[in-house]
Formats: sequence, structure tokens, C-alpha cells
Amino acid sequence: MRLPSSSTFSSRKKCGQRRRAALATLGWTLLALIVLDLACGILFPMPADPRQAPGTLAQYFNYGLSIEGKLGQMLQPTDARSSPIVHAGWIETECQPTAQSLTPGQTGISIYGMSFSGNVAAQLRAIDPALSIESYGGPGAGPNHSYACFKQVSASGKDPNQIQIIGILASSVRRMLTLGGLTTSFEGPQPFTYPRYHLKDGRPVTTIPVVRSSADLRDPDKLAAYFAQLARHDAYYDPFLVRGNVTDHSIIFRLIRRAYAQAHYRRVDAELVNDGNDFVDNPQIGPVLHAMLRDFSETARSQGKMPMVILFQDRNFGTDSLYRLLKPALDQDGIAFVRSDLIAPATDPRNFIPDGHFTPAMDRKIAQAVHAEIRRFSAAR
Amino acid sequence: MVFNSVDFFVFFAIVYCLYRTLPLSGQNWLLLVAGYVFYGWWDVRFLFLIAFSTTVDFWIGLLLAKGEVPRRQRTIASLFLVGAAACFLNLDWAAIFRLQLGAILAPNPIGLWTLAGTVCVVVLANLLHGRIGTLTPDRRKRLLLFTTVAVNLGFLGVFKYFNFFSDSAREALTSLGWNADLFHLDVVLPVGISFYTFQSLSYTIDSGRGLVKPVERFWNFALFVAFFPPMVAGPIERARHLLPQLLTKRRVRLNQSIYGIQLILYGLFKKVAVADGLASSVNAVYNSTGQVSTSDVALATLLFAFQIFCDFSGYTDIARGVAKLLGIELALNFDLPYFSRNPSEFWRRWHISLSSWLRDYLYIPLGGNRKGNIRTYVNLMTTMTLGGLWHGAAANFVLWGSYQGLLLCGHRALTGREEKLPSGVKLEADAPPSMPHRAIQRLKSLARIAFFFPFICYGWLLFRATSFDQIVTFSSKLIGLGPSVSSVIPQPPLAAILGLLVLIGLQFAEWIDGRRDCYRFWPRPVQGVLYAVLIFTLAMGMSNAPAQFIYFQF
Repeated sequence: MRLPSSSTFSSRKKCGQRRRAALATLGWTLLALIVLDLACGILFPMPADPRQAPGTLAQYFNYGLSIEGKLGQMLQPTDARSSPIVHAGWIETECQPTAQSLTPGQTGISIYGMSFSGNVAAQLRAIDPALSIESYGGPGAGPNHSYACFKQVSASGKDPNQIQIIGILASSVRRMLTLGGLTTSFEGPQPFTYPRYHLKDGRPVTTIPVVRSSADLRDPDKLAAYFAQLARHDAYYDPFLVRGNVTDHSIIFRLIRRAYAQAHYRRVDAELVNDGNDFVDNPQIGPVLHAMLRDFSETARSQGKMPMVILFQDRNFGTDSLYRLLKPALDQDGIAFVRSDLIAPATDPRNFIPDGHFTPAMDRKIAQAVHAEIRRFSAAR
Repeated sequence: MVFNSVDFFVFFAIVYCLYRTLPLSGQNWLLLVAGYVFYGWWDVRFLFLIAFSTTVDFWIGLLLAKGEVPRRQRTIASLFLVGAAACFLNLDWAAIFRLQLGAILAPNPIGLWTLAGTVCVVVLANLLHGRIGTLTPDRRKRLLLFTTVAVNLGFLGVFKYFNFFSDSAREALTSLGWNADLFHLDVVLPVGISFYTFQSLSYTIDSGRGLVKPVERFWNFALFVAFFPPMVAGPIERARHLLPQLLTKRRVRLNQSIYGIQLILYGLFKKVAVADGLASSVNAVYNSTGQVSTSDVALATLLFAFQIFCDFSGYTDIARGVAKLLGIELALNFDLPYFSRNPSEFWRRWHISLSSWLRDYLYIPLGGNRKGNIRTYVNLMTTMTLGGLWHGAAANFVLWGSYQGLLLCGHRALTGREEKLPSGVKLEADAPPSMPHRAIQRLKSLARIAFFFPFICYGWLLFRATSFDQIVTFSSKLIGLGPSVSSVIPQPPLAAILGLLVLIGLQFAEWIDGRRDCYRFWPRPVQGVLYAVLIFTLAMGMSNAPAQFIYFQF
């Protein structure tokens, strides 16, 4: 038997030692990672009661939980015990006019939209207390929610308001490609649903979501059918983000899922909605939105009401992309509109509060512009 | 292809697995193809520029050193260049990936004209080859050096500077009342063009100076230019450092690989968790069209100082780490730059490969400090202003370069010390800067570091500004002029804040310890905790909006 020479032997020994040292470091790294993961989970838990606000870090480490996991956290056996977000924005319940009749000479306004339009409605009330304002909306609601809501309210025949306003938010246009608020805001999904519209012979046709109330969410069969429907009809649906699995228990996997979600949204947005500067030429968006606005204006006018649109250009979607997307439709159908980008440019961070909404001062300026349009309409009558 | 993408890691995994199974010649072929795939991932057409630069500099390198290019190598280089013009400019490579083989041929006017021009250049070069050999060595050297500088800087001039100078000239003429309609090129700036151009140019100049042995085989030189880790954002490698490693048998050592992985992790952490996280806060101020406050400008500029350091040194760390996994050592590019006590020291620690390039190929040939005081100041100003212009064709980069020149001149005038820009290549083995041993010296050092750091930061304001007006507005804000407004800067993401604390801690530890990347010498459990924290923070930072490496645009 030939023994290796002493130098070869010592070199091999050294190499073996280095390998063991490397493996030991790897072992310590993995151990430290597991400890970090467990520690963050234990130290920053989400409150058991979904009605309680979580701590900042608890919420941060919860961002990457699957949508199904988050739905499980916010949904309790009853609406009263569930998170308030569970019962917000449902068309069946939220888009019901309160049937207040107007006093003679009083101007009534119905505003459809999201928090941005709700803030403007609040400022309008402050500017002109004589106005009768009814605000309908859902959290971050897209144009299809507002349109569906308007259709339901106007079909009820109980809305006496002469001014009908739809607020369209640049960052919510993406929701035209979805059936609800679950899939487009991964970090804070909203369970409410709304129809998705396609064009047929130039008119919007509807895909109705399987789930239409918070009670439906508690029905496992309906929920499963809804997920299957999202997989078919929702451009933002991704099973890795929606469906819960064992990785929900690990903080690191949640962080990775969150990063994946951001990349997924950036990709879908850039391909189908908006590249950060301008809306892309997507037949599922521009033409459908035009058709919805045309139907909105025709319906309102057929009832002797004034249609109006507020274009909310928020950050990260260009400077005036929403106006350029909708200008042809607004001009063609002669719909009155107010543009936020002329009042509160999206490129000036001073116009926004940290959560992305306009500052109250900007809301007031937008409301003043809306009020001026309303007065012009009232004077013309 | 960018380092912080899944594409790159899949690409590198394939390259690495193949690399470990191949002999040297196979490894070099693999690295050459990988380099072209890596760079062509952005735009296949850019590869023609690399091919042209490679061919010209290969010829010139041999002609300078030996007076001739062997016929076989001439043929290979000629065919390669014509092939590159045909394939990279007249084929639709996307059709190949879509498997639409019928649509591969995509001749276009620019591609066909370039192909015709390339054929003419190749024929002419082959015809003139014999004549060049008959010139006296001095005339030949002058002619060839002029050609290499003209070709390489010509590319930079066309792609990077033409529109800047054309637009500036038009503005100047318009201000004089002439309505000039000057030509504007509609071209895309190839990523990293300044890096590989300078790398290739250093080879031919060194060949002319007899400092580097010329490469006799075309494919070896092609690999030197297209070696992918430092290709688009440095370090700008010197032929005498990188070529010997590429041409001799390599052994990938375990220690080297482990260090490589550590560097890749550290680089990703810097880029993804810190730089990309800070970008949102910096951009909110520098891209704002509205009013910003003094604290916004100060904080955004401070954050940008860390953003650009993490972005650029992060790229270098990953490049060095990837090269180490391939058994190749790259030059150092950063050496605790924010621990500099004066401008001279800063330029020996920041972007070392560029400052040493500027010293060796610009400052020294201009006369350096050998021709009296006035000339030294002129040389310093010229070198640094051109160094600023190297970064980009914009007034703010020129201003930044001039500012750095002024700092160096000011420091020289006040202290009487010679300004020492780094020479040659700085390696890991070179001693890193470290904390002085005596307590009083430490305090003095820290005080000088703290005094000089705001000067570095003000330079970054000039560098980051989007217009001359913004430089004026922000500078006046910093000295307290202008109306007082509320702050708009958003808080950076948690990952960036945590990452910044870890980074500053590690930098201080290295400065105190005096060993490069000293964490590698810590006890294994402590190393394990550090790597876990880096991985965890990296995972947190992965949801930051990814931004392109800042230096890709240069």
C-alpha cells in the first residue's frame, strides 16, 4: 500500500479542516436564521382579535402571509367579530341609496369611488353645507366597482340626486382586470368583490363574482369556487400568493413571498396596465373604460342628471396618464371632469400624506374645482 | 442581465457547473460565450460594439509590440468582426427564442450599412497591414495609438457625448441669437460602455509602453474584453493583472470560493436591502417638482451618499465574488472610502480602478506634478473634470469632477502635500486603512473624517442633481436661503434602515480591526449570526422596488 506523501497528506488534512469549518459556519448560519425566524414570529404576533390594530412590526412581518392566510385572520364567524375591512365595499349592501328627498332648490350629489372621492365628498360638505351628498365606495375601488355601484343605485330609482360623479383613481384602474379586492393589494387584501366587464358589440358585459357578500366568504364551497373563478378571470391571480400553505408559518418565507408579490405586480402592471409613466394599450382597459363612461353618461342624462368624473392621478402611474387615457371618451361624450394632476401634481410629494392619499389641503382644492363645476351646472339649469 | 436578478443566478449556475467540468481551454471558451450572452441580454446589437473594440485593439496591441499580426489571427479577427456585424445587427435573435426560424433574418438599413462599412474596414485594414509594418517604430506607434484612442473614444463620443455637446452648442448658439438646428442622434446608450472601453484602451496603451505582453491569440483577447463579472460596472481591469489569470491554468480553492460567496451575499445585501431601499427617499426629494426643505436636501444627500456607495460597491463585491468562484481575482475598487480624511485619500479609496486609470493614462502623461505648481493644478483640474465627464454627458458630472479637482487643489495648496492618486491595481493583499493605535491619533483621525465627510456629501449633491437649477436651489437651501417649507422626504423602508445600521457597524469594525472584510475572521457562531442577519435583511429588502445599478449608465 502506498501512503500519500506528507505534504499531500497535510494539504488534504488542511482541505478537510477548511471544509468542516465551512460546514460549521453554514450550520451556525442556518441555526441563527431559524432562531431569527422563530423570534420574529413570537415577538411580533398579530392580535387574535382582528378588530384590534396590530403593531407596526407585527403588520410588517404579516405582509407576506398568503391571501388565504390573511383572509383567515380577518374573518370571524360573524361580521361583528371580524375585521372591519370584511364588511366594506360590498355592492349588494353598500350601494343602497338612503332615499332622502331633496328640498326645493337643493342640489343633490352622488359620488362613487374610493377613499379619494370620499375625502373630496367630505370637503364638499364643508365648502357648501347646503349640498346633499351621498358617497358610495369601497376601499381602493376601481372603475368597475364604481360603475356597478352606479348601475345598482340608478336602477333602484331611489336616488334623487341631480349630480352623478364617478371618481377614477389612476392606481385603481388595474382593478378593471379583477373581480374583487383580494388579488391587487397583496399586503392588505380587501375581501369585497365586484363584476369584471368585457366589451361585446361596444357595450360592457358582466362577469359576476361567485362571492357577493361577507357571508359567502364563510362558505368553503363558494370560496373555493371563487378562487377557481379568480384563476380564470383575474389577471393578478397567482396561486403562490393566494393559496395558503406551510410556508405561511415562516417569517422568512413570508418576506420572500412579499418580494415575489411586488415583482408579480410590477410585471402584470407593466404588461397590462401602466408602465409607470403611461397606461399601456390594452383592449381590456381603455375601450372598456370608455364604454363604461359612455353608458354612465347616457344613463345619467336619460334620468335628467349631470354626469361628472374626477380624475385622481396618484403617484407612480405617470404625471397625467389618466387624463390622456380618458380624454377621448370625456370629450366625445361631453362629460364634465376635474383633473387632480392640474391641482395636485403626482410628482410633488408635498401634495401627499405618507399613506399615499392627498393632503386635506389638496382634497379641498379638488373639492373647490368640483364645486365650481357643480355651480356652473346649476346655473345652466 | 443584472446581478440582482433570478435570470443571472440561473445563468451563473449553468456557467459554473459547466466551468467546473471543463479543462482550461474549454473554460475560456465557455467564459467568452457567457460574456457575450451576459452582455447581449440587454440588447444583442450592443455586442457589435464590443466585437469592434476587441478586434481593433487586438490588432493594434500586436502591431505595437511586434509590428505585425500573424495571418491566421488576422483572418480569425476579420471573419469574427464581419460575422458580428452580420449576426448582431441583421438577425432577429428574439425569433430564435420564439422558435420562429423563418423570421430570423431581419436585415435593416442600419445593419446592412454597418455590415458594408465593416467589410470595407476589414479589407482596408488587411491591405494596409503590410504598409504599417514598414513604418518606423516611432511613426507606427504614434499612428496606432492615435487609432486606438480615436476608435475607443470615438465610440464613447458618438454614443455618450455627441448629443450632450450638440445640445450644448445649440443652446449656446440660441443664446447668441442664432437659431441653429444641430443634428441629434437617436441612439440608446450601451450599458457599461465606458468600463469596457477603458479596459480595452489600457491594454493597447500598455502594449505601446511595453508594460504588457501582447496577446497572440484573438480569442484570448476577446475573453479579456468580454470577461463578464466586471464588464458593465467595473472594476476596470488592467491587462497585466487579469490576462495572466485568464491564460494560465486556474485552481478554484475552497477558501476562495467561500470568500466569493461571502462577497456575493454582502454585495446583494448592500444593493438590494440598502441601496434600493434608500432610493425611494432620495428620489422623492431629487425628483420632486415642488418645494423641498433644507432638512430634505441634507437628509436626501446623506442617504444618497450611502445609496451610491452600496449600489456601486455592492456591484463590485458581487463581481469579485463571482470571479472568485471562477478562480479569478479582480482588483479592489473600494477601500472604506467614507473613512477618508482628505480628498487625496478619498480618491485612493473610491472607485480605485478609475482613479488609478486616470492617473496612469491622463494625469501622468499630462505631466503630473513634474512641471511646477501651476501646471500641477491645471493637470489635477483637467484630470478630475474629465473624470467627471467620464461618468456621463451632463453638466452636473462636469461640475462634480471640477469640484473634486478643486478639493484636490485646495488640499494641496493648504497642506503643501503632493496629491497621490492610486497607481496600478490595488489588491486584497494590500493593507486596508485602519484605525491608528494611539488614542489621541484615533480621535484626530475621527475628527478629520467627520470634517471631510460633508465635503464628500456635497459632491454627491452635484452628482445626483437633475439640473443646474436644482444644484443652485439645493445649494442655497443648504446654506439656509430660500423659504422655509415642511419636510417631504419619506422614511426609508425598514430593511434599508436596519441594513444601514449593519453596514455602518461592519465598516467601523473593518476600520478598527485593520483586516480586510474582517468578519471572515470572527468566531464561527458570530459569523453565522452575521450571515443570518444579512440574509434576513436581504429577504426584507427584496420587496424594495429594484433600481438599475447607478453605474450601468456610465
